[in-house]
Amino acid sequence: MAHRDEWVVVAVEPAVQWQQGDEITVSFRQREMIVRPETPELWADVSLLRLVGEEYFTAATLVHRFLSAMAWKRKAAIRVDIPAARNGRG
Amino acid sequence: MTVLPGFHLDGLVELTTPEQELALALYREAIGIPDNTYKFLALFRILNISLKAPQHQIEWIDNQLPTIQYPAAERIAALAREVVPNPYSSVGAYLYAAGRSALAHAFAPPFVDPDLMDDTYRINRDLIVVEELVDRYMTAALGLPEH
Repeated sequence: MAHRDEWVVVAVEPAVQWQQGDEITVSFRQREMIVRPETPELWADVSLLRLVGEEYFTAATLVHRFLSAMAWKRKAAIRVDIPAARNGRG
Repeated sequence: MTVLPGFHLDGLVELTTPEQELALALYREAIGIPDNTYKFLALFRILNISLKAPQHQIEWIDNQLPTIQYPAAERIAALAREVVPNPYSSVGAYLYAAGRSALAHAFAPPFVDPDLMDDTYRINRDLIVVEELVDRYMTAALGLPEH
């Protein structure tokens, strides 16, 4: 089983709900993107299991490429939540 | 909240050139910007991927304008009446100087003041033209598939 830290999870701002129901797996550039819909508690997100030795930012970039391809196909805004330091204010 | 019906995730653009990849990233960023002035600037930035000099961008835009359809064509026709030949030599020159550059700079006119209704209303009306131009650029110039 993969360790939790081996996943990259990119949250997507809920301007658009791209699907309803269960999570789905989509192949993109020979990797598997797990697309989860928004829930009452959580934003929608895309998860990618990192390869052995793959940097976090490298995997996150691939998820962003996936989201960009999706935004173009549907001409729909998909805003990514980029984590940043917030002076301890969460 | 908008639910996109039939949001099929197959058939996404996967194999891209570096230029296409950058265009897709800039496009996603641009259309997610809620403010129309910054959306305008962010979309215009996409044209700069291969059209490096201002004059190249202006010429490319002017070449595309006659083939752009309604509703953007209506705004193009209005601009051709209102700003050409004075003070701008073409609609492309107007979009570059009074749109792109006016949004990117603030040290000297023309620049967009977000408090001025004249400015923001004008940019809002021009945005549809830039959206059409960017769609055209990404498909015809960069070779991406249509939406």
